[in-house]
Amino acid sequence: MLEIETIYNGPGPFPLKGTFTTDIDGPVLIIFSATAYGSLPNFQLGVQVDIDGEVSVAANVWANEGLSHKALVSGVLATKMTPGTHTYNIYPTSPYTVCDENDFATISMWPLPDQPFTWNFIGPLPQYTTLQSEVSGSALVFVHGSAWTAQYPQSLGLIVVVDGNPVLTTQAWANVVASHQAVPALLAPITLTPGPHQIGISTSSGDFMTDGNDFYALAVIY
Amino acid sequence: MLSEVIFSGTGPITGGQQIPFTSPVDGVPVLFYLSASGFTKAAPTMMSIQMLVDDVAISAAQVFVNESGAYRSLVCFVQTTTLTYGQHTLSLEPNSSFLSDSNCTFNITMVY
Repeated sequence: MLEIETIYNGPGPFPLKGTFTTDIDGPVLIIFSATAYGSLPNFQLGVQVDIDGEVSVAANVWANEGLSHKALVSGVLATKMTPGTHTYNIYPTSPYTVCDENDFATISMWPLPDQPFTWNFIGPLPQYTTLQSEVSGSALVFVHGSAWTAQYPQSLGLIVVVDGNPVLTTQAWANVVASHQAVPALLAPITLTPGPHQIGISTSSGDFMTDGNDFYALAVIY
Repeated sequence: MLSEVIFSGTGPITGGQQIPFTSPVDGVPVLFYLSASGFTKAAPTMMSIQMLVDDVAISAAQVFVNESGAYRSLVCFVQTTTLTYGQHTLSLEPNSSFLSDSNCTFNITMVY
């Protein structure tokens, strides 16, 4: 039975501290999504959540425009949860990141029988790593990332690639030049066989740019 | 954990768009995750799309935008709901600030 729990689903301003109570005892995937804006242009926006002051996961995006609210690229975290009451602390990670009442965050906790595959990394794309699949059949992939274009309008497409085959694509239309933006996060099923697989994120063709100021999150849930 | 894509397409999305689907489960939590992008002509404003199942609001995706005409991704709240077996209808209700066209992509995955 699906027992996803929401630790926080609501507006800023951040920083914000709180508590949550859970019955979960075992591995969990935590997905953290948020929005923010920069008080100055051309800085990395970052918002982080600490759980019990022990583990943390961050959402980031590069903001080319100041005073412009942005969707951040979500962060994913594989950890273990114990039953009882826990604390969370949501806060900006740079002095130029601002989260006001127009921003919001969502923190969800996904109990799983085994540790999920999680990978947070920075660009440029493409990048690949090894996934050790525990299942034969359907798995659920969460992918989120950012990109930019030097020529607009342009479709920014992120492609999840498994063993050289494109399996999922999420995309956004970009009509602002040289502006990093998050494409929509995508949660969708794929089919896996047991054993090792090469998994990663590539880009669609076109004048589509990713660099060290782009952020990516990839998780596979069995 | 099982999942099913119940909608994948491009805009425009307008109020009242109906997406029929069949629930394979009864009385247990189900999650609907919406991936969406759009733009506004009324910045600064909050753009949002509410998801309703059988006319009951279950979750939403939103983002605050400062620029008119610039396409933006929305952030989906993760919230489970409970369904009964059989036929249901999911509808998308953008707020008055949200606009979309054929350049905007939408995806809804049901997880159960």
